[in-house]
Amino acid sequence: MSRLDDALREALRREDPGPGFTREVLARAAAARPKQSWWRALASGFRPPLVRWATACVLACALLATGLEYRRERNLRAEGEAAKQQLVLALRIAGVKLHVAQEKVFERSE
Amino acid sequence: MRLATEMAEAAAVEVADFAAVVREHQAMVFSIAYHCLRDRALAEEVAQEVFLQLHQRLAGFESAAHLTFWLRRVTSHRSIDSARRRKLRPQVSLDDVPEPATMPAVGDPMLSRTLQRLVASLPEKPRMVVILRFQEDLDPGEIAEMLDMPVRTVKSHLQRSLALLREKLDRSVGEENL
Repeated sequence: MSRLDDALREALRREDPGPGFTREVLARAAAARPKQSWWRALASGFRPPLVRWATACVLACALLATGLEYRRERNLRAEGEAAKQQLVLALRIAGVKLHVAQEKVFERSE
Repeated sequence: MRLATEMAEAAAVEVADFAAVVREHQAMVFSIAYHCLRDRALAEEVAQEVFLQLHQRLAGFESAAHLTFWLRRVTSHRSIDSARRRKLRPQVSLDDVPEPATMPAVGDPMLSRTLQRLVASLPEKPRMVVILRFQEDLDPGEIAEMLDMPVRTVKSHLQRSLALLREKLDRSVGEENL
């Protein structure tokens, strides 16, 4: 390594910018930040991890509740259908018995 | 209300992170620009522009090394562009730089100033190669990646620039070991 290398390292060593450089950069960054519309602000509110997890939990609970409600509705409908079938069967049996009884009444009266 | 508080807290953390990044890297960024441009106000302007560009994409960095690489790369290219726009090179020609009357020792402020002026008089790309080599201590491969040029071009720029600088200094100090 030559003296020129050392001299160049010395000449080109890092220097700090003027005082207040960081403050100036932060001020310009704040000024350059675009104004957020209300829906963007709302959307950006969902960025923190806690809010994201809470949103995911609420959505999962809503999906579960919807599923359970659908299942309960389907069971109720199936039970109603079964009761209807039983009623129809009972009416048919009652109709047959009435018919038999009616025939016997006619036979006696003749 | 709570959402607004959380948003304000997140924004405060973001500003604090950004401020820490600026403080950590401002000497590197400013010095690359300053040694290239030899104009403090212009170098500060370039450095601020680099940090503003960084602010817009701060979340996109995978590591500290990636961030440093990006800062050096963007600062180098912006400084070269700025030097070309300002036509800085004709303002300080290598022949116009006064030769030192006596050979100062390494670490001497006069030698440093002379070398800074000589480096600033090099063409833009060779100048940036010398700055990245001796300010940032990067090897030719890293410089080539940063400036989008072949490694052999970087080595050639370095050899020619050093020969030029040595010649200019040798004229005044004879055959001393520079």
